[in-house]
Amino acid sequence: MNIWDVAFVNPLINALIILSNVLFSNFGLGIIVFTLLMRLATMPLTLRQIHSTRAMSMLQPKMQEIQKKYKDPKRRQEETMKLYRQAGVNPLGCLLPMLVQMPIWFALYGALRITVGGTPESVISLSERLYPWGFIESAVPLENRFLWLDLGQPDRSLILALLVFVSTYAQQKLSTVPSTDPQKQAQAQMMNWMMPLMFAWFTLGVPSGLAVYWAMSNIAAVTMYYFVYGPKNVSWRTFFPAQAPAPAALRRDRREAAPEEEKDEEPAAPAPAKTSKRLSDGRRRGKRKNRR
Amino acid sequence: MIHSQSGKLAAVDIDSLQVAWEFPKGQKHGDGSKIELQAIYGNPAIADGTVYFGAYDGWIYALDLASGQTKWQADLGGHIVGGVVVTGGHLYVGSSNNRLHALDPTTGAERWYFETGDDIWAAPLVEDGVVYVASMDKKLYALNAADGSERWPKAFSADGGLATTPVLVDGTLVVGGFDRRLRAVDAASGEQKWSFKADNWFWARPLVDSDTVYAGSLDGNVYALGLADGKLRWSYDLQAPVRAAPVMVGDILLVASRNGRLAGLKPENGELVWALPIELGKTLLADPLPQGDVVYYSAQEGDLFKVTPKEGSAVLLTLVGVATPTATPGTPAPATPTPSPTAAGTAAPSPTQVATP
Repeated sequence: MNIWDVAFVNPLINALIILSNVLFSNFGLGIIVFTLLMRLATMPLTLRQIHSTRAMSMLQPKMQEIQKKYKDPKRRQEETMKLYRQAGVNPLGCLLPMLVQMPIWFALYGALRITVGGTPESVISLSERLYPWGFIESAVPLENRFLWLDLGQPDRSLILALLVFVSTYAQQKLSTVPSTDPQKQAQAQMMNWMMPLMFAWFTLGVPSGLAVYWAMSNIAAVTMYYFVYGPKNVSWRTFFPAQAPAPAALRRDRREAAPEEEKDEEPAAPAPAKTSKRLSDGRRRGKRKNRR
Repeated sequence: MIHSQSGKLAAVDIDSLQVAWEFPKGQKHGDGSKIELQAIYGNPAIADGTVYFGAYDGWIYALDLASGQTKWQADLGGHIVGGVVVTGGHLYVGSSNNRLHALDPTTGAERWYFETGDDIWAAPLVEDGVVYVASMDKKLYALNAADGSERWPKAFSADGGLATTPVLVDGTLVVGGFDRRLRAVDAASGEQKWSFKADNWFWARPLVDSDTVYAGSLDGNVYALGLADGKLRWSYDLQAPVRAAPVMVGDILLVASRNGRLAGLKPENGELVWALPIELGKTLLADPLPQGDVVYYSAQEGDLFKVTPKEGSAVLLTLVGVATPTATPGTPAPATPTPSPTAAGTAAPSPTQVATP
């Protein structure tokens, strides 16, 4: 057995079984509570990630302006970093908490995959990973029936697949950084649909215990987001494709996140004299004398 | 020979290795739904020209031995892991619905059932009008074969789930459990005589030969214990979990581990008879089928091996009519199988083999 299993996967397997034992030997409840506890334990990291993602999204318009304004890459980078500094945003803030959490979620996924098998051969594999405590060993085989599910078998009723689809979509929608770049926006839009579809498809083929974990993990993340940003920012409108996520909040947050207007801007190239410029509110700014 | 491969049950002529029939082959349940066995863990039983077996889909099937056609099928409502036993005009089978069922072998109609506190993964043992059944509720029950009433004042209790088919010798039942203990229980009273603790669970059906109990454990060892006192005589480390039951062929004790390692041992001291163990390279979980001088092992991947312990050789059998990869692990033995007309009723977590009468 490798060090990864001994250090991460096996402790989680044993913890999961202990928890199931405590919860009236109900393995389904065990998975749900265990997922929630893990979400709770990693909450500081998740919150940091959410805040960073959101702050980054608020800076998108400013970044677009910098992209347009400065053609020199060095200057562009300097201005971007300046923008980050002024807004108090760390570009690694989104990535780092995610990277730290990844091993935890991989280990949890591995632990569940081994534990929910339910078949005799998977129980043999489980026997090699259990600590020699009667309290744990007496729980095997685990009670795999939960609601209408056999946690060791795929759910053929489509209910769980639907739940996984909806919850993944909601979670995906909230964690996507809105972009002003149409190409990136289209990509994000595609991912918002592809990921839930993919996970819903997986749900039809994997033990339903794993799908319960996916759904619960997503629901916990959405709930956390809701409580952090409040009902004004997360409403049912947030999840519809036609609506930008929480526009009112975005505008407010943009104002909060935006740094002071720079007064010493130095355009890389002078703007053509006759070019008109569309303002963010749709009005045109330019020479008026021709109108008269 | 009845052999399980790729989620199907197949009847194989042991001389020509021709597959006579496979099940299911387009057959359906009564409601029109397709039969999908999922897996076959328990050994089938053969009686009066009928093959009986339970599948992980929760159904029990009775097939015509000659043609493979369904005689009857019954939904027991829980995964079937243990094998079936047909004797005394009853068919006995345990299920993951916690029940031991006694069915009419001719129609599949239920005669009685006995409810335990958890899944039943072990095949029952039926001896002298008594059905002994081990349950995952940590108990061993003794029931009257005729009506399912309990014989002992109190069922025997262990500290972990019991998934092993018990063995009865001279009034002593030997049963292993998930509490890492192999226990000897008095068949008349249900009282414990002795217990032996290993480093992992006992799931393989033990073998009792004269005054010694041979038992494989998931800790990778095969233990030889005194039948009378449970004292350790020797142990042999196969270095991988042992689920397949040990078998005695002549004066060689043949043991197999999950990772496909086979060892021929001297029963008196546990020394290896061969120069080296045979490495089949396949997953061996099912109980083997001894037939005279040879033993058949069915791997989880569906491969069928013929092992000749005296020669220390193993050969992969290529079935005719079913696509099977050809390889020859170990030294090839002369392919002259002469199966004796005996049936093996052993629990097997994957494929199963039964000699045809």
